[in-house]
Amino acid sequence: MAELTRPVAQKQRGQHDVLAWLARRNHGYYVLGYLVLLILAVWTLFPVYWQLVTSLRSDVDLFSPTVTLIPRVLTADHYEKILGPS
Amino acid sequence: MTVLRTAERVEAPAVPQRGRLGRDFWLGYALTLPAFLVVVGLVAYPLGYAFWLSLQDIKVGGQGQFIGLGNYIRLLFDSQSRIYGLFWNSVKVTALYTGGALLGKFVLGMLSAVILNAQIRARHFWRTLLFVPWSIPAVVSAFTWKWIYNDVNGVLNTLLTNLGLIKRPILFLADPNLALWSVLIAAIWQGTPFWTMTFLAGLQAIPRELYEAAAIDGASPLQQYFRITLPLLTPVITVTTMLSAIWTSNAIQYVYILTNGGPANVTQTFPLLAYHEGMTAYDLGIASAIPLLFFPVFAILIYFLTRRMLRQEG
Repeated sequence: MAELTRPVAQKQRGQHDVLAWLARRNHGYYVLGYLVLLILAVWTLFPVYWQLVTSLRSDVDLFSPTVTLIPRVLTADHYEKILGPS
Repeated sequence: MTVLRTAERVEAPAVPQRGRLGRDFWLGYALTLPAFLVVVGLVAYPLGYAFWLSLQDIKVGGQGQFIGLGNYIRLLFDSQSRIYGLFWNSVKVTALYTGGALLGKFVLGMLSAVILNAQIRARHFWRTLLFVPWSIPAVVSAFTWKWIYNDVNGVLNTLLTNLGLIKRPILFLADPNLALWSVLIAAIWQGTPFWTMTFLAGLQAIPRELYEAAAIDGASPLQQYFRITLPLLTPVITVTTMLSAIWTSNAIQYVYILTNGGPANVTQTFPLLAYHEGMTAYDLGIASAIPLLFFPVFAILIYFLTRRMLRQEG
């Protein structure tokens, strides 16, 4: 009869809730876990973002002595060159 | 309501045996034939031809002269020749590059997998995010990293300067002390998701009850990790390490695009050396011999890998 007594909020098999355990012990660890996750996400996505942004930057902005995170001038020139009439 | 089931035994139909495949034995050969042809055509033939080339003194477009093991002797033992220095340098660089990449990917992959395995909100979103680098073609991301590392307009140098950490731009790719590290970071960036993925799959296969039992017995999370998680992950770690070692040491995308062998050959791994010798120095004999000297290492790795994988299947 074990199948009938499945608890309602059963976590999936294998889900070891590191962060919840840590959160119960020390709220700081919970924050730390999310912080690490955030750092990992930035580390992972920054080159992708940079690639995207570089493809949309105008030449003036690309080779200017100051580099900005967000482009000053957006342009579709590069895409036009690749996709447009040769 | 529980249902009692009786085990049913099914008798195998009696079939005249031919070898172990039965009457349709020829079908087995026929179905295997396409795969066999692919293996022969794409693997055995190039390998055999490369071996044949490595036994000759041959330049691109020229006539080959059979010299037996001359190329190998020159690579391994002839300390006077230029290629000897280059070869052993590439051994060192390959070992450093592969070792460093494996370590970095292991640490970051394990960290990512442990965090992704937890019950955080929107974890599917985070998982998808962390897998992105693996989906980008290596050549494309290599160029992106090259631009990031640029000493004039690169964002990394700009960031460090704006934060006040450096006065003059750092030559990430041109400084012989830094070049290998820079290439390593880019390679680790791209290869980590594979490790994250396999570790995550391995972590999810561990039953929760083990952790609960350990927690009841008073084990700290660190103890739980080292006594439960790691031992149960060992097969996954082993297979992933072997695969990644083979792929990383064979890869030339990052070393070629970022530094092309690096300032003073500090980033010249053995496949890149083989490429340079074959395509820029046009010496096909040496170029074929170099990877074949590494072949036994990989063959042993692959042997243990397949043995372990087949053992787990059965």
